[in-house]
Amino acid sequence: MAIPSASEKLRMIQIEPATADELRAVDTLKPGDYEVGFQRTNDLVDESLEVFMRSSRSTMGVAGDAMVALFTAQGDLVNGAAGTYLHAIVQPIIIKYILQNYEDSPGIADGDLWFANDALYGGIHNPDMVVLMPVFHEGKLIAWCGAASHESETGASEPGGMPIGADSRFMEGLNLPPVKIGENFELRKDWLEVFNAFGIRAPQMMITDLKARCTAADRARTRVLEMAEKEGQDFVVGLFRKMLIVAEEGARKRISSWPDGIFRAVAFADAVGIDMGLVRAANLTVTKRDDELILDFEGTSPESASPSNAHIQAVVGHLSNYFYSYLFFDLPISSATFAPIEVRAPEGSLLNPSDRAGTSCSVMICTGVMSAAPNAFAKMIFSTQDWDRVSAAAANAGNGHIIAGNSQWGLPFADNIAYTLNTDGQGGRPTQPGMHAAHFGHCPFGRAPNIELIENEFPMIIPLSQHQTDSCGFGAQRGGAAVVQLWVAHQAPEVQFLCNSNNSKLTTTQPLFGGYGPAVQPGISVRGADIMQRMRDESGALTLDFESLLQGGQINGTWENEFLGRTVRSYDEGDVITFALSGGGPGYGDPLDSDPEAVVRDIIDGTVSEWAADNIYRIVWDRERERVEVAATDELRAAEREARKARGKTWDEFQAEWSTKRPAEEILHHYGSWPDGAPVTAGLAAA
Amino acid sequence: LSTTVEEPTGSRELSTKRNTIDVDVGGTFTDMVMVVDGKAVYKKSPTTPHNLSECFMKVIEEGAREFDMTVEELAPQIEAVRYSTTVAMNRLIQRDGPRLGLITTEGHEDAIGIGKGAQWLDGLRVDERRGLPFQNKPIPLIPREMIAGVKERIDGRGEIVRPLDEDDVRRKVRMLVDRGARGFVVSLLWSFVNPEHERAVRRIIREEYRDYHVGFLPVILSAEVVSRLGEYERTLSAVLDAYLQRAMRIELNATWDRLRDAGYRGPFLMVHNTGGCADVFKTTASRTYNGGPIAALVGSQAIAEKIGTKNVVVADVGGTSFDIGLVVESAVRNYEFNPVVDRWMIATTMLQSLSVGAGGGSIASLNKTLGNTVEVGPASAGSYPGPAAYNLGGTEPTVTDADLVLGYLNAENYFGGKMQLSLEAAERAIKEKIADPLGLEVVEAAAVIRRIVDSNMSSAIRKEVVLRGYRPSEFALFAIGGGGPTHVAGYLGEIAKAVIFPFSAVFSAYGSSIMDVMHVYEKSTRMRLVDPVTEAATTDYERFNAVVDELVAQANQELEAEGFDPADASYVLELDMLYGGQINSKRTSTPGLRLDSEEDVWALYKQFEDEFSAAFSPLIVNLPGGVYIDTFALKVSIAGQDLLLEKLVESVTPKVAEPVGNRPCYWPETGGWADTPVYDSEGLAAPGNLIEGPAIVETEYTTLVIPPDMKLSVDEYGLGILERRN
Repeated sequence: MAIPSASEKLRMIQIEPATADELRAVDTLKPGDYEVGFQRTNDLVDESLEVFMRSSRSTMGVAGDAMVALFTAQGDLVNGAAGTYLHAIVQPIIIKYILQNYEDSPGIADGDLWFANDALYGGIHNPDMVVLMPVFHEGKLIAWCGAASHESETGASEPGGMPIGADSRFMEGLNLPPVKIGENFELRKDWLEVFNAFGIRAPQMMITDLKARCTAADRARTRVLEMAEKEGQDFVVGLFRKMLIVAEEGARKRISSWPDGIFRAVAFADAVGIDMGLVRAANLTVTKRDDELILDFEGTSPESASPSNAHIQAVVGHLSNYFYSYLFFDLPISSATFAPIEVRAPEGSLLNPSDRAGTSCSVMICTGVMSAAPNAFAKMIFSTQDWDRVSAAAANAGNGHIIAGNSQWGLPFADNIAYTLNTDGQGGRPTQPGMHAAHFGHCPFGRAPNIELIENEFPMIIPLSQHQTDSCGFGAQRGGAAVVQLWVAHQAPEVQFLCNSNNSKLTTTQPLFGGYGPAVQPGISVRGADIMQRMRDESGALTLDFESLLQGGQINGTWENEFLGRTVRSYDEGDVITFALSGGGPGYGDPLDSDPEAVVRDIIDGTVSEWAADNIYRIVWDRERERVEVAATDELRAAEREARKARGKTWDEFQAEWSTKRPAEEILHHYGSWPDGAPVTAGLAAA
Repeated sequence: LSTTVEEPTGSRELSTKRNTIDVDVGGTFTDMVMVVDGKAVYKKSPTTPHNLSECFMKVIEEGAREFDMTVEELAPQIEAVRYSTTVAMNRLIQRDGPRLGLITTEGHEDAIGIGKGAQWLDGLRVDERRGLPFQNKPIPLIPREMIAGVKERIDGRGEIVRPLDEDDVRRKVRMLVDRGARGFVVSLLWSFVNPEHERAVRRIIREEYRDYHVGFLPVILSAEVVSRLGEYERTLSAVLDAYLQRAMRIELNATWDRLRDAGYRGPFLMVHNTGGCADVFKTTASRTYNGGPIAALVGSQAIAEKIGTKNVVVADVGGTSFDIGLVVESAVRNYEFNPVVDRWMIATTMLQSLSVGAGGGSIASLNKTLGNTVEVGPASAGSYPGPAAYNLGGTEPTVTDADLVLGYLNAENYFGGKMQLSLEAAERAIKEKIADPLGLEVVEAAAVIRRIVDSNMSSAIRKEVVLRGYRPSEFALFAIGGGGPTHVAGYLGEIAKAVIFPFSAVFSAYGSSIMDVMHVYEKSTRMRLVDPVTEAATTDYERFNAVVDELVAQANQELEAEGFDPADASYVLELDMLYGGQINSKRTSTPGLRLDSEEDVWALYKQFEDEFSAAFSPLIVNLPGGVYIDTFALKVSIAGQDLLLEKLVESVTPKVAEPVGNRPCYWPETGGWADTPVYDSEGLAAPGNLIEGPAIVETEYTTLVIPPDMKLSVDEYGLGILERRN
């Protein structure tokens, strides 16, 4: 037994060859069996996910950062309900590890409850916890069922499960390889105590969510068994294998319809953990030939002494977030749809680090993967029949604002407020803008809570919650706007706060085809703020609008402007804890190609400023009548195009100048060698 | 198309002596049940979308004729008229409501645009959600420039932390009127705890526009529409009511006027999605949404009680959708978790019903990307062009085409012979689109289509039932609507028996005929019932009782205004409750209206724990986390009339049903075509009758398919019972 290597984990994500018994079972399927059985699996995973979400306690689970999935007896994913696709795609590694290593001791039996959350053994990051159950029918292992969700606590060095200050896995709390935590359909008491001990900041949440995972996995297991009872064992075994066959055919057919070639995209980040600096978060080269894809991340920056590294299977998981929402949204959630896709990342890089690396914030560094992939594939498919699936990447900010303390109800709490997570803007699309406050890139179905609900549960008041003007990337089709909120400590003497985020200096998400990137996200707070007093005494003089508040004079106190990612700190009642920000979506296409009428509507809605209309979109409009001056706009835009040409350089001139440029040394300490991003030391493994 | 559905053989002794009319205006048909001097008449007529009062009056005229009366002669004898309608939904889809202004708290003007993030999900089915390139948030009913924030703020305790700036309100109101506002919605944060500022805004609007008729600039306050926590859903509830109010009034007044002109003097009651009905003047638009299916559910509950069944799945197969409602433990207390009307999530309590994209018009197609698998629905050919067999231009094979090819439907006698079906067109569509590409015979392909749609419906039922913590085998199935009986044998699944009704085609109108007059009053108040950690029961009974007393007083005042005596009313209290640390609450019934002792508290908790465990999982019961009440909901009702279903008079001699003919039908379970007896429903309504499958039973609007492994018997109420033969 050993910790699985990156190449072993990548191999375990690939589907196993069909056994003779599976192929025999496939042959027993009658016309209509596949269709009927496939829909049955859809309904049973949907049912299990609904039970799961209603049973969960952490706000992440309730918001839908969860999944329930079905696997073959050999551990390949055949269908899932999400939530979050990335949970599903990596679970085969856990199952195959159990099958390979634990058959004799402790043995695999009916009624087992298996658990894992260690990314080293196949997970995404350790807050993502999974329970897996084998499905035995008449003594034979015929399938596996799994339920995974994000836990907002792991007993790490900081509350919330994603310790942004961690420098290795040793500060990240509970990290369990695949272990059997229950037998005969019951959780073992000794294991429950382990969770109790690691969940000491929020033990009820930890235990309740663990039981919710068991409940959901068992619900799916029960339904699979019912199907085997009613339709026969061969039906289930044959159906699951056929689902793999059909899904792989579908994916290969889709891929082969795109042009062969090599397509590149790169995404940067402005920090690892809270340590600012430039990193190449994802340097992606996609090679497409026939019905296969190779996604190579060579050139991504070296691994760091931070929690912002991702083991290789997490990279595949983050690719699945993009694939299942855009390129493959009409294909099954299945290991087989990834069968034609090979993923590579250099050892010792952020996306394939050593065993000791911190990975609790892997989801943050992998926003690079989620941002680079859409841009690389856009170049591949914009001229195909799938042109309308092209989109600039989503905001992919996923800003986690965590507060903790004692609530106005006298109860201790620690939670990730799901508002900013679930209101990122969507990227611009070929024929329409991105949706404002559309979703959480990792979990598109999660919802933001009502303001009244937040204020009812937590000791703060939110005087401002609005679409943020100019937060979107401009473009022929702009991205969707972000949301900005003002959080003021209220009804409690103090509130603890930390933030898992970056994007304060540059945004990881990138625009497409000449669009603009979205606004960066600073970490602003005001200590000793007088806003509550001004609301009370000078109601008429105060204007609650983000732009007005930033102009100054509206809120007095000690303003602090920091990096958005912040370690835990305390705020007093009345302080502005933070301006809580989600991210805007990047733009698609040249703003000069935008519809001027749409720009005017955006100004009226507060999505873009008049400044942007004048200087970026170059429109001329009648402010009184809110109408575009068409001829004048055409003229202005033509002039700007000519000016661009005048500013332009030949490729050789540009290259000669560009290749001599180099960022300041002080921001390159996490970058690797310039400009290739290769490791400059032997890496952390040797440390 | 108007016709009379005659009473089955034998006579009914009706317990009611009230003369009533129930009308359900559906998307395609308007159905009516009329009871005069103990005799019931059922009518069905096409809906007239351009003017709903026309179809409404038409079915009543038809009914009156059955009693040899004109409407003018009949109307004075009628004591109650109940009405369910899709007008609210139609107007919403057409987007022809008035231009409204929304006044909200400054800094929160974007709340309905932000829509709690993934607003694009609301109103989509699960299978429509994944494709992000094509999603969009719905176009708002109130555009952003018609939303104004006013300088005020109330906090979660109801304390004013920012006084209302009245000058600011006046400026904003004038601005909105200048921009064309013809009505206002006022929705301020925490107004359900402290409505002072919302009321002040209304007063200011009235002062500013005192010369205008009140109805010209209606003002809707969110806290008066629904007094619940959650600004997004509360605001949208108020927006929908304001948006639909005028169209509803016009439509209903027109209908109401015609009845009054005919001499009717009784109350005009609207069916509500709460499961009760109320006077038209007490009806807000969002309450009428989905009234028809809810009426069917209420009717099913009463029938279930009568025939001794506790758990029922009520299933209606229409042209484009398969609608499911559940009666569980003799009650219809399951509410929509997050009710959505069109694309808008609202806060009002609404009985749960599920709609799946599977019906007679559902199109069968091959998914070429996924190995030529057959998919049925959710796309539908609708009623125009409709199935290929309609010969109205439809070329896509549908479920109805499959039913025709299989021999189950009668091409000559579809819809009472009023519509001719083309077998040739149905066969051609299935051959070209499904059978040939798959290398199947046409009839085999038709059998696959039917099996898939039946299985999808059956799977949807199973999911709904098990999510409530039950098993399908514990339920009976009521097959209602036009298409229900044709597929019931297929979607029955693990359910043991299906009940088929002679009045299946007008079931919703039948259901509304027994509806209570009901109002629901809700108030969000966070209250701790059991302390966390110490697990001590609350002793603050006064606070609990005060909320109940306030709701009861409000209810009694309104009952009296409607001319009812509160002494005749019954009161039921339900609470949204949750364990500490959880976000999702569970609507729980209560043993009584008040708390007066520790025993009362624990009895309430026990009820909550039982319902919570059944719905979710006993594993996550968490008493040490504390128990909280979030919202109080008081249902007050005045009993409606008794169910119109009596045992058939015993003197009726059972007679053996005789087939009226034979036709070949394809039965995959027994390997192919078989000459199958066809029965007319008129001939077999006597109790004790038994038909063994395979058989077809035709009624005017429906065709019941009895496969070889099933049988149909007629029970003592004249209802058909479909079961497996063994």
